[in-house]
Amino acid sequence: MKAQIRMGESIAVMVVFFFLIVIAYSFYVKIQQSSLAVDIGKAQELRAIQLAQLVYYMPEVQCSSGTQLVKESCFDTLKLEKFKGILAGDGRLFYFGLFGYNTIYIKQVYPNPGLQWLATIDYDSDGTSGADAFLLYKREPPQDDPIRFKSTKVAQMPVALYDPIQKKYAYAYLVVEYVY
Amino acid sequence: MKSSKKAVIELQFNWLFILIIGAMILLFFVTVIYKQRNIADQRLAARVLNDLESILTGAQVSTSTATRIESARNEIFFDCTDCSCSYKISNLFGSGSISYDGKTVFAPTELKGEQYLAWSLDWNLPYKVTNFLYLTSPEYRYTILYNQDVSAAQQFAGDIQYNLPDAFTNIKDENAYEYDLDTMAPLGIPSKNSYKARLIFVGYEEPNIASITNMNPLIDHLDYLDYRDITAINIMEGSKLDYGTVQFYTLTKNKERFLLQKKSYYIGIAGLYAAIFSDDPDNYVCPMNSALQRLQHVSSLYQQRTTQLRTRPPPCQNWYSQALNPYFTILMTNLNPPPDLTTNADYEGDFGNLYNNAFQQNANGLAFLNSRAQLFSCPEMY
Repeated sequence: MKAQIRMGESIAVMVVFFFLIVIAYSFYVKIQQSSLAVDIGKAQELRAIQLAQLVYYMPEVQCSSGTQLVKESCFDTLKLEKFKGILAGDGRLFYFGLFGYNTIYIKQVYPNPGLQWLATIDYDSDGTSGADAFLLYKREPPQDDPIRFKSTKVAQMPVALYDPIQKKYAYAYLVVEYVY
Repeated sequence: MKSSKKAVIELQFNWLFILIIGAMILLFFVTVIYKQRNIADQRLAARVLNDLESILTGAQVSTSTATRIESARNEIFFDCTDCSCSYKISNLFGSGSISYDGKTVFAPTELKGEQYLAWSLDWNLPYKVTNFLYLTSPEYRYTILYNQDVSAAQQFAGDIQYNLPDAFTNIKDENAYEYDLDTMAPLGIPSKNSYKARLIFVGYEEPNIASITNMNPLIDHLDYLDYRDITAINIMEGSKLDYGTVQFYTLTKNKERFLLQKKSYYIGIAGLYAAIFSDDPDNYVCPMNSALQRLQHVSSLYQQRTTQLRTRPPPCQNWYSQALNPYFTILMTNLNPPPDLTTNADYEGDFGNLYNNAFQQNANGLAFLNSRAQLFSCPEMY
């Protein structure tokens, strides 16, 4: 009887011990999961910034002068218009590899786009970028994917718009909506 | 007597109980430690992958930059089978292959070592088209062998080394050896630890390399490597830094012969380095085709832009009209569709001619017209 009680005590201690370990481990796993979620969030933010950087430095949109001279933080409005046409036409498949299911547009802030300061750029509105923005690229992600493409990160970078014909500048910012 | 027997059973049962519980506790902690180790490995691998992604994007952004990346002893595998290029990192379970996504990356099939080397170079024809990113490892050995009978070969070998960034010590700091393939004279190249090796022949003709039957004097310094880990490239006689023809070779199992895998071409010094750092011909040809596709789109963009600029009054109009016909047109039509650099018979053996007509002359012509436009304060074409 005594032995049975002692055994029962031992088992009870063990149960409590394992119970504590399981609780401690589940806490640890929760912390790990939340830190992983933070890491994933950071990684996606980084991807959005990387995509914005990629567009920012593309020879297809950057202001250029000869072979080597490239004006940084500047988009050529004529190039933007032509590049948009290529993205919707022959280059659709090729540039999808670079841009994926994301949205890229440029929003002019000064002067007011309504003043039509730059003649070589047509602002359009499709509900995404707004009437004061130039929608460069948009590809809708497939709706039937239950896990991916449910969240969005937005990256913005300031940029100057340059009209090479009028030789005028406007202030704008590049917006990349990264879907993951 | 009865109670002592009971006590013995109880004692044995206690020990059995302790043993089972002890084993369970031990197993539990071993499992936790093992899982934690895997998680730590995966986190490290994910960090390396993130770094690599940043480098790949950075390479599209800034040119002529060389960096060393800490690898945390992870291996990266690059594959361009069927021209669907992707890379994969070891130690990252559950992670599939990651596509190049149109980026022009040139790397060996396997990257290994404490660190990786990365370098980006822009590809201009004459306007900037894209940046090429080269990846390799300091533990990848490169040996340059030039044809002593070709006067320009030594200079060419020197130029290959000179134009590399300082970080690429595995090529830059190595000696370039003059070598006669006919006599197969021993070279005395020092042995070094490396996981793979690439021989860079400069200025040899195709049959010379493929017909060598005894490779031993040439590769005795690479004796410790498996035959699959030794590859070769021949930058053929007549090639220049601007353009040329290259041949990709592998070694036979008995290490006695080189086998020609593919013959291909390069455009610009950026293209030459692309061929050198890609130890598999597919890893060169596929990203190169992607670069040529981008050249088409960029050329088309400049052509359309110049067409719009043509509405400008003279003298600007003159420069734009001249540029549209024939320069942009030739640049685009010659590469439409982009030639398969290996198999297209139209380019076989006549690449110098194609380069001179389609690239060099047009590039020079466009550069001239662009400078004229600049001189007359007209908007430039590119």
